[in-house]
Amino acid sequence: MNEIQAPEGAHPGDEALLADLDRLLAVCDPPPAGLVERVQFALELEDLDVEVARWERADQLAGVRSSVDQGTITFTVSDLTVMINLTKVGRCHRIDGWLVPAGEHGVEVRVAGHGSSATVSDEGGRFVLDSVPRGTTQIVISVGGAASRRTVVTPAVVL
Amino acid sequence: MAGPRELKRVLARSGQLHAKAADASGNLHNVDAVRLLNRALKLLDSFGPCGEPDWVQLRARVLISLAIAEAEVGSTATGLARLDDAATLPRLLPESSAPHLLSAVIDAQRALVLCRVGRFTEALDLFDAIIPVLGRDAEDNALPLSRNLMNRALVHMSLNKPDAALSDLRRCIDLAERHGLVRIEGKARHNFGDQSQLVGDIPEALRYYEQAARIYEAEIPGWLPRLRLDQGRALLTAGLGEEAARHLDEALPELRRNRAIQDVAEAEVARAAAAILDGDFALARRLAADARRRFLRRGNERWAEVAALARLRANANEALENERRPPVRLSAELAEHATRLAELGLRDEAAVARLLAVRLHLRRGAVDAAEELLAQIPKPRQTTPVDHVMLLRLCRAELAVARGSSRAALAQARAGFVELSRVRDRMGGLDLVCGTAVHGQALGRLAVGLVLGRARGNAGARRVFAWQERTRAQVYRYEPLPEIADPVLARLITQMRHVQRIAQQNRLDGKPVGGLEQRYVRLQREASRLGWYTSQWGKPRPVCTPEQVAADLGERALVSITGHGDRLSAVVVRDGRFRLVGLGALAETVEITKQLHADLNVLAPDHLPAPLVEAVTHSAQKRARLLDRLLAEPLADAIGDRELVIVPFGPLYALPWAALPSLRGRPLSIAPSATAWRTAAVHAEPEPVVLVGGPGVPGAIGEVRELRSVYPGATLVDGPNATSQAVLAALDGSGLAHLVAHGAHEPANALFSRLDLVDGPLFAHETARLRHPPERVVLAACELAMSHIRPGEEALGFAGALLAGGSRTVVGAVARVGDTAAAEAMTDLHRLLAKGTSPALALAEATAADPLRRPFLCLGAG
Repeated sequence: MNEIQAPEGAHPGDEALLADLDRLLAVCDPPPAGLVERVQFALELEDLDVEVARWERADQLAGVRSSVDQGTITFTVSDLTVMINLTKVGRCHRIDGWLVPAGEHGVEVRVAGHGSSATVSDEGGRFVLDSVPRGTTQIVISVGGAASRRTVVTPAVVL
Repeated sequence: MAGPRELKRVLARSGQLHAKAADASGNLHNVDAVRLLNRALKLLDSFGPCGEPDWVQLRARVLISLAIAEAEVGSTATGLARLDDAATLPRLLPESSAPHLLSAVIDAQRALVLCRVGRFTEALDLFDAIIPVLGRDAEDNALPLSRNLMNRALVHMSLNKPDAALSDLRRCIDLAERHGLVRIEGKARHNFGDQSQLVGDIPEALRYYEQAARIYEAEIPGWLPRLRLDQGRALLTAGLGEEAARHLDEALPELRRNRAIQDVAEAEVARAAAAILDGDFALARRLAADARRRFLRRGNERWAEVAALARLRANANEALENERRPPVRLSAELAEHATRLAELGLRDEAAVARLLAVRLHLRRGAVDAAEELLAQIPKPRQTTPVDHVMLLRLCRAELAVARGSSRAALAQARAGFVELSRVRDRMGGLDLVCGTAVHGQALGRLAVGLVLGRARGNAGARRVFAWQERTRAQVYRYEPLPEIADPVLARLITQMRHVQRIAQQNRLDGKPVGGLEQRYVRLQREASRLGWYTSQWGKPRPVCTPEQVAADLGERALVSITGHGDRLSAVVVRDGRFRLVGLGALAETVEITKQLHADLNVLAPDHLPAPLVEAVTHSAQKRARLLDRLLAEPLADAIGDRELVIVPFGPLYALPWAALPSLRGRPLSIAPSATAWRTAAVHAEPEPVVLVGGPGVPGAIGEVRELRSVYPGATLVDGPNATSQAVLAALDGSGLAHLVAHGAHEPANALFSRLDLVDGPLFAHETARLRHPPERVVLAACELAMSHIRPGEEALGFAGALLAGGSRTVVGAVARVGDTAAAEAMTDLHRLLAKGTSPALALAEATAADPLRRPFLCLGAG
């Protein structure tokens, strides 16, 4: 990522210097692991006219008598909230989800390298997706069903 | 020709190489050993053939070492050729150099190479010739003698002569101990473990393996992967498939690195068996094929056939799980393979192949062929593994069903469960006691299916109930025996506590915990291993008869649930009558239970935003209503408005029963079996009272203070005093214990489910072994009423461990709970308990106020 091209006609000593600088940057300020993959994955979405929901990083252990993270994640954008809860089942995840406002929304879960699976939430906004492979995951909500024009996506997160 | 000085130099240098090679090979690094030995040999031979006794001796020793190292990593033939070369050397020695001893060593090595490829009779002849020669000067020959005794024991084991094997091993350990031959002692203990495993004594096997492990860790760590392989096999026999898989996955990379091909392949066969238990047939087939290829390359025909059987077993089990008619080819293949196995003397394996063929024949309706084949199978012997014994019972029962005789089928099932109980009775540690049930799973399913299908009226329902009791949750049927304390285990648990506490602090500070978590997993695995071979878990109590249960119920009704095929049904016991009631569809009920459980988990935190609370509450209410229709409505007439004892089934252990609208406010006890309920349902003395407050729970202080006003005489353990030792000491002998703390259910290893205290977690494992467990326990924490369900409805978790240890009643949460919600529920609960209200009734009233946010259950007898 941080490769620096030596300009044309540079002094040979400059090239060595730039190469050293390149190595130094790679050590001191490397790109975050999986960044390229996540960017490519996010760019794969065909329709780029979407709203991106924000990850609400709440303290998982506040207000409950538990010492383990339950695997609940909440995303919001304007009036829409998506909450998911993950349960590990073998090599996959079961995803239980809740959408507010309630309604029959289209829900698609994309996992990098594993395609996607889709369902529709019930009238209460509740949905379940079983056997979702683990990996870089993004949820795409078609608000009000597939025919709707409004699409909300979550950031790609590693689950 | 070079002079004597040159000879001296060559001998010294090759001697060094040989010594280095011996170390490498002793640590199972045979590739390195071969390289070093070849260098030594080249060096010696560069000096040319020579009559000098030192040269002859050393050349022979290099060849001897090379033979086994090459046979391990390469081909047996090459290894044996080295020994042929060596065998020409002793005759060059003068009588004073004891050529007969050198010959003995060469023969011993030949015997060992033959053993490793399964040519046992040839090996035994060699050992029988060598050992008396060495035995003439036993003390001088302690090292070679003890080594050969051990190897002969291995041959005896493989030829199924347990007594001869044990006698050799005892002689060997005695000699090794007296002469400080620690490595040999370690290996002999390892072999003692194998021998115990062979005769079905799993706890004994695990004990010897662990003794060997401690020696290996200190002296020859290279042998640990091989030990893990044998431990893995013992765990498979004990029915702990997941644990066995973990052990083998840990050992396999190390074995591959060392190119210990025989062991790699054996580990693959064992791992394939674990995969079959887990239903992963594709993985099992792949492993079995790899193993077979390796064995063939080594020329180990017997093991190659065993590996081939593993592949056929995977195919057969897959076909039997399938609804479709199995192909005729598969049973023919198994029958042919059985003949081959029998010819190689693999009697038990041949029997398994035939038994699977019998089952496939029966599934295809070829009853005569099945019967004919079954008749060829010999009676089990003392050393026949329990899974084979149970498979034989299953085949006989299935044949009886095919012949239309349910009575004979049930008799086979009954006899099988008696045999299985005998195996279980000897087990140490709750995990092993639970694991045994896997071998009876298919037989139990058959028996329950038979009686369910024919159940008419009171007598039919009564029979179903009796079979439910015989086949489920047997772990609760034991009266725990006092534990023999193991200081190593105690030290490990202390370390686990420490690591978990540091990890928790780091988590709260947002620091990384990956390394600590890995360390924790390793410690947990090690602690489990020690827990498996602790002294025998308990004295078995008989399964209760339906009449005994009916008599003790009094005004209560009992609902005992079974899932069979795609149906759920329940036997209701009320006023001495038995009634079978069909419930909703199994798959639907299980799925909605999972959804409701997820609803309650995310609803728990005190500060969930209001719109989410509303959405999740609606979802939970809807699902509770659905479950009410599937489970409670069909029962309505049978149970009336009675207080209930519910014996759940599999995934329904996670159901918050009090959330079902028609059960709201009704006193309920959830018990793993009616027998377990009846054991717990004796008068409990709810004194003295202990109140425990763990760290980091905001509501704990208020809750404990509130409870102090309810129980003024209570012992208080909180603040910095709430350490695991102080809490365990306070719990021992108490009548009622109330614990407020963070809790966590450990799904993969239920006995390490935990409650957080000041010095780290208190583990379920520790509470199970209290001398006088508290009569009543209230776990005001998350999830501690959850269970890990092993095959045979062997449910175990934090609350379960307390019940199995002898507590009468445990109140715990089946999901996550909010801090405030829990504190309020607990205050309500204890106000009633202190007045003398029964726990079931008190909890029913306490949860009724807000059942979705108070997912507490009363386990045991309320």
